[in-house]
Amino acid sequence: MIKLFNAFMFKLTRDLTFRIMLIIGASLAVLTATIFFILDQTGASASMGFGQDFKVATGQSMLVFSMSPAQNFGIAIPINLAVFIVLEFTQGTIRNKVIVGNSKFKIYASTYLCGLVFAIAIMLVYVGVCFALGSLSGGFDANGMAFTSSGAGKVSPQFLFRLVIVTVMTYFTTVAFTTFVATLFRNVGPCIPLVVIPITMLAMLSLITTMTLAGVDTGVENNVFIENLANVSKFLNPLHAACGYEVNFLTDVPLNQAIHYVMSNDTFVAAIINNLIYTALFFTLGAFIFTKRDIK
Amino acid sequence: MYIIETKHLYKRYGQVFVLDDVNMHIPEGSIYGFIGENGSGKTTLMRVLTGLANPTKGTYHIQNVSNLEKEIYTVRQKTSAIVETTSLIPTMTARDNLKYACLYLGIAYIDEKMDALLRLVKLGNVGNKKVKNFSLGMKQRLGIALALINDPTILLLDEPLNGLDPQGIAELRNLLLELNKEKGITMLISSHILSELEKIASHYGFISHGKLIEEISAADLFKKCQKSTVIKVDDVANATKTLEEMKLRFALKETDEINIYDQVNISKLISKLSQNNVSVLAVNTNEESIEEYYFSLIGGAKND
Repeated sequence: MIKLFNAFMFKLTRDLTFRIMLIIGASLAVLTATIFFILDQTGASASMGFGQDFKVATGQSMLVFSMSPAQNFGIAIPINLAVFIVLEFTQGTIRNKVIVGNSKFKIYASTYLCGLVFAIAIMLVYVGVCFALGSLSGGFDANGMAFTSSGAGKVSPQFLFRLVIVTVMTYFTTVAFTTFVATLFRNVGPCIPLVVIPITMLAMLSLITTMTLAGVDTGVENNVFIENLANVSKFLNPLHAACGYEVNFLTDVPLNQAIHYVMSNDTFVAAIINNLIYTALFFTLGAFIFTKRDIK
Repeated sequence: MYIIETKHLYKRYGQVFVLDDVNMHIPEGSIYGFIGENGSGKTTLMRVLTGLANPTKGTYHIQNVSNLEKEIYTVRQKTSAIVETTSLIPTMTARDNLKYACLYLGIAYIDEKMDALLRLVKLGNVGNKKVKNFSLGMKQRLGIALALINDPTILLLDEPLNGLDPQGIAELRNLLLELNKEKGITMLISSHILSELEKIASHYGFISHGKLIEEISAADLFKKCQKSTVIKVDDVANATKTLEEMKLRFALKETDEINIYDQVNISKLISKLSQNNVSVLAVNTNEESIEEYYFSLIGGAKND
């Protein structure tokens, strides 16, 4: 198992897709930070309705923004991961590993682990550069509001800690799902839509339900229906806690102090449990199919 | 002792049995030439033996270890194969491909050993050229180097001569013979170039439509394919009676032709036959090639 993982890591360091993704991640982070910096400098951030002191190019704000699996780069990672895994089949390197006596289960497990490294390394580069540039521009700004896909809100250390945990957990699930799909089809063509569509839909479900309940105009008016949908999403959607944030409003305080992002205990626990279940489910299914099917 | 043995092996894709009750026996230290038409099941059998495909029914043993035992993984660590295409990472150099293989094999990458391997397959001077820029023959040779990296005791090669020029074929043939003789590597080689296989194989297996029709040693095949004298006669019944009296080995070829496998004095034979009222209409000599033998086995078109 360790030797297979080491081999994968060696391949990863020489893999063009991985290198390109690292470069794109870093470049996109620089671009995002630049745009956020311009928004702050031109006063566009201040006119967003969250108060005159509202800044988007801060360490905390860019950290929360860049972590979300709902944004474009979060979706690009599983796409490229699928390409990376499919290449293992099409280049025949998996075949070589089977021939020389590695068990198929170990090969699958090492593929999954390497996929995790692939996804988390790219995410870390993007998030790290965003965070570093945000901090350079506006400091960490723990008391400021964080700009996110669903608006802006104050972030407590507890929320931030929980967000980091559930975000990493979503990568366990998306990598397990992507590895499963790539193993099932062994072809980039069907893999990409099959990976992108569910991830996008689940991210949207989380965003729409939480934003509607937070009072943001999403065009959906039936609150009872949305509440029920949010509850279903909370317990069944592995991306729910990492994409859409619940909001706690304080009254009689200025707006820039009123909106607080929270992650309730049940949302946090549900996110951990359902991510673990989905990870185990897709990993087991993928490993079962991989061990039972012939390798071309 | 058989280093590879299959027992009533079946492989079915849909409703079609691609392998149908295959009982193969590969002696240790042999070069086993595996011959069959396209789609006869050669590659499928190699895929089953290498663990890439699961048999539908039946078992196989490699070095006396059944495919159903866990130890099969250990045995496979000393087995190498090139099945269908050479599996290489095109964006890496030859050395990086070897390094990658060393890592998943769990063996140390030793520069001297890798240099020797690359020199052995005539790729000692490729430098940092990426595999995607290699010719088909170079890829094939790098595939062989990869297959030798774990010092295998068994080598399975599916059409290894494909894509090689005549010089490359001769070099690979010599390399395989050298590996077999000096390192005692047992080889299972499938090839369409029967004339080349004939130069190296010590044993043969003939497969058609998923059935292993015959296994034979090169020595026995040589005897079977040896020169024969063909006589055309006007009375086959009387002629065969005469040949029996002369204790000659023979077989009826056509309705009026007889193959005589023993060396015979033609004038004495004609005189003996004429004494028994048999007229000899024509006399020819015939030497059957491995290809003709194969055609005669599968009942296909004869290469006359």
